[in-house]
Amino acid sequence: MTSGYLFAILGLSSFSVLGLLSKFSETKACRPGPTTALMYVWPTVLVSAFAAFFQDAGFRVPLTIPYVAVPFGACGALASLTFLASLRYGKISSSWLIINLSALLPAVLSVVIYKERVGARKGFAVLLAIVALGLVYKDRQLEQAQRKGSEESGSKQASAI
Amino acid sequence: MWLRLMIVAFFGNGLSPFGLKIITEHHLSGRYQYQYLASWYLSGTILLAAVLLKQKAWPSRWEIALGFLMGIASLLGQTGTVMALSRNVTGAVVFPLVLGGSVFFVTLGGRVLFKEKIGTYGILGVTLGIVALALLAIP
Repeated sequence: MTSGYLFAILGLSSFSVLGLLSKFSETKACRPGPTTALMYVWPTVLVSAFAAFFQDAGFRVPLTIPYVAVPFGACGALASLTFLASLRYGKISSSWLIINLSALLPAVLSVVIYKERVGARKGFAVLLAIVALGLVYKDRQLEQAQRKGSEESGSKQASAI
Repeated sequence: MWLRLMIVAFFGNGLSPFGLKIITEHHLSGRYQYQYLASWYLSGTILLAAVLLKQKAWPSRWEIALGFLMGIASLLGQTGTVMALSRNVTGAVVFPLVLGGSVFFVTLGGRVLFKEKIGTYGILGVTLGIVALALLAIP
């Protein structure tokens, strides 16, 4: 196996661990704010150090870089924060799928803003992603209805006793 | 509440990588990629630090430990993906493996470790989602 495949497996296992740690943090009653803040600190320190010491330009960059990075970084932080907060109310499997399916948004934006051409495969993928999101939502609705039903029958039994 | 939070997370997470596309269109991504990433993470850190200060929330031990591990996992995930691509493994292999694979393992982990029940619609949704991710991510 080449080193490239080992790196791909590293990527796969790291993202899987990230998803599972997110759910684990919820079971340990970790608050989304402090956890996400600390999750962002380490990459900030490491990437900044790498840019400062190993990149020729250092931090002498065109203003376009911070102008673009700041709002999109804030979007990412907000997403991480709300994702962790959502785990208190939902399943990791559905939430993680939805977070990953958000990849269709930049694809759609690239088509709309930069007039990128979309092949049949990507168009089909977008359609599949929308159907997948609908199915996950349907599953969630059914689960809530079942829970509500069992709670109501439980309270009826209790009042009959 | 779950749906409202997930809608914000979906749009936030979907928009967040689009900045890379913008700097690529400005022909800046090759030279300033790391500076961009540093500014990207720093902006998020400042926003989240402001939230912490407003809430006056001091992190607990678990939050410190898990925040650290999640940060490292996120960085290793990104690095592994980029390094695999730079070592001539095609995007057609790397993206479905990393994105689709992580959805599969997290779903499996949710079932085994956290005893989450998934209905027929959920299983179908996750399966279609993995296929969609694979098709979306292949360059």
